Amino acid sequence: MVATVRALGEEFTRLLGRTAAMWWRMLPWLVGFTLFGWVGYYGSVLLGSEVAPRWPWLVVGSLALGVVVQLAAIVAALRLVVLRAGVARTEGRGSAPLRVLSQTMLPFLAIYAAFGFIDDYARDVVTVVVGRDSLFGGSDLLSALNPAGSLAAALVVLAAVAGLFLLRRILERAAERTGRVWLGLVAAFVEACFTLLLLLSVFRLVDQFWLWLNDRELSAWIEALQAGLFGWLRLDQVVVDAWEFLSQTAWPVLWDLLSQPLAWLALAGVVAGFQFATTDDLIDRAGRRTAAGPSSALRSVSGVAREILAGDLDAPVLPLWQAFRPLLRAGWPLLGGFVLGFTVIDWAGDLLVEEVVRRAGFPAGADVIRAAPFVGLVPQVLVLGLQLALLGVTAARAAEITAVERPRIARPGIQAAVVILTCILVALSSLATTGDEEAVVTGSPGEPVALLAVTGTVAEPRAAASLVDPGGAGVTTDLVFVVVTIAVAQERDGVPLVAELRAGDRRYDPWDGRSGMLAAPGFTSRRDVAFEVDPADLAGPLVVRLVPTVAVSRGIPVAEVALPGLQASGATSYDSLARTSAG
Amino acid sequence: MSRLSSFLRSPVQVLGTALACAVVFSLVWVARATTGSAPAPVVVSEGGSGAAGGATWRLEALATLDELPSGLSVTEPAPGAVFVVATFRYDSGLDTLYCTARLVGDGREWNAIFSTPVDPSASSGCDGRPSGTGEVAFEVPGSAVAELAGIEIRSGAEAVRLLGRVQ
Repeated sequence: MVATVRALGEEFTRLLGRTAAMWWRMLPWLVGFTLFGWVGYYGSVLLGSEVAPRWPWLVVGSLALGVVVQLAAIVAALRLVVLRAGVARTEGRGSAPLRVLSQTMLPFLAIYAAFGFIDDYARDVVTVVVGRDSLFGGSDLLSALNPAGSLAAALVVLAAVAGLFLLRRILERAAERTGRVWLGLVAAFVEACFTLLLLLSVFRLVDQFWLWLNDRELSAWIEALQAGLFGWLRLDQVVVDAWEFLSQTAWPVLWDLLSQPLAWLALAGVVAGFQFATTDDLIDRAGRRTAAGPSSALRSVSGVAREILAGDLDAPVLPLWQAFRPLLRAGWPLLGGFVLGFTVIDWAGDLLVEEVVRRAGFPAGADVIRAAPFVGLVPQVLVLGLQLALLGVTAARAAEITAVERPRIARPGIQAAVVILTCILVALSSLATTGDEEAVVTGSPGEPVALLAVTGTVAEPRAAASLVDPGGAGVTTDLVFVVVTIAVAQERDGVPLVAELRAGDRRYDPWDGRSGMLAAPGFTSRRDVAFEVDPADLAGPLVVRLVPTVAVSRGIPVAEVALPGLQASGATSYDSLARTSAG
Repeated sequence: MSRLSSFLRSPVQVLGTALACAVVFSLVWVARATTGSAPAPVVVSEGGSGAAGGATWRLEALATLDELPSGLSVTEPAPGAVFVVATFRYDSGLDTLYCTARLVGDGREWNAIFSTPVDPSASSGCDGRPSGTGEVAFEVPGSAVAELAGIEIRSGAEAVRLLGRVQ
């Protein structure tokens, strides 16, 4: 076990050292191509926000263009790195750069989408476009792209999705047959349009379907069936808490830690030209082994179905497996060293962004939009360039180990366990540092706290079983209400503050669901906010947090106001209406 | 070797072109991204009229009030605040016309509040009629009255900024 840990540490440091050397050697190309990608990304954001007020549907096309430009830049940089590392295959593929690009873009895009990178892209873009619109009084992009408003709009969007899907398959096949480079690139653009249309518009129809289904009798039947099957289970609270921690906290962090480097490994595999066996090939081989095949009619139907489905299954799964296998053959320590190296570079980038933002001053209002691409230079140019270099040196190291050293993997099970355990420990340690993503400003009850362009004050904490509004009407809970009076003030356009209550690990949102608080310029807005909490939580420390809702996720200043010990009374006043005053 | 291949092999050309693109893009971003996605408003000097959204607009008056009519009673402003009522003329050849208005201060703006027009013959903002006289009310801190510089009316994707001072 000690030997495995030592080997893991050696691979990790060796990879980092070689990555630095490779990055320095390839600096002009890595910085150059990642800068092209950066321009493509934010260029499409700018273009999207320009066309959004007049032609909202063109946002899909402009973002797809950005996706294609950015991915093309990444593919070009990655191809150069793997060539320099001496692990790229060139036979069987044209060596002209555009041809390589055309042939690798679709599988690259498919993996990129399968691991959720396009989701992040769409979310970031919508945040900036919507943020820009709301700041300057433009249109509501997401409403404009909502197809659930009318049957005609829904049918048009679904027809567009089906049309794009078929068009991509036709273009892909035409590119394979004719060898025309531009067809492959257009196919990638169409595929990006298809994916973005799903993410920006069709998801509304899916939501609508689930809402409709929840309203049906069938939903009640399913619930009754579940209750019948599992209702007898009585789990201890400890088991429930442990399961919640594992499924909702630990697993997502571990998955995030593992999925990112492994996804990039698959992408590198596509670009390096590792030999793939596609589902198509596997079915063909199986077919050849079958003496009596199905009838021709059945074959043609199955051929169409295979054509449609197999390509989409192949894209994310097989390249991942094909890229993963040679690395695993080189031993678990190399795989662990790669995952840790990838993660360390990622974390270093996050810390750098945080430090830059802290030193430059946290942007507020329009400055959030103005600063976005420049903050994005760190992850999209510096971090990405280093990670591309790491991918190249890892592939080269795998080839070196398997060709020269040919490792004897003693007790592979123990090696695997040690490496996976190390990854889990690293993932859990990231949980402990997530608090660093916020710059916490500590305040006291009644004392104003400045957050960006807004000043927030948490005052008059009290706890009671019942709330009584100014009209004398009351509402009672079996738990307990914790009520605070929150005031927000701002001199210029600011950002809304969201209030939440923390009791240890528990987080409570406002009882009435109204969380955003905002005042007009020059005004103070004051209202009561109630949280319905477990009475046991009154014994522990209670903290009210005021969080600005801004488009940037790291380094946000957050106010935390610790409440004094509270004793629940029978009833307390509660005025949920916002009262404003000048000043 | 193709022209693209020789370009890709040259570190100076790749990095130089990328840096040039990045600098040009940065300048475009800073110039455009903070001006708003909607078209910039047409600025009209005090007393003048301007076109936007298929209509012409003119600011008739900008006045402060201590109370606003509200049904049979009146509404009073928040402590330390005053109401500012903007009256404007609009004229279009459209079947219907709708708009939103904001009060413009020194680097800050206020949204209109719901109110009944002080002049019964005026519409509340533009309520669909293609032309007429509109009224919008705002609530601002009393200390901000001196900085008020006019109103901005948006109709569809276009906007007009009608400059004027509180009388």
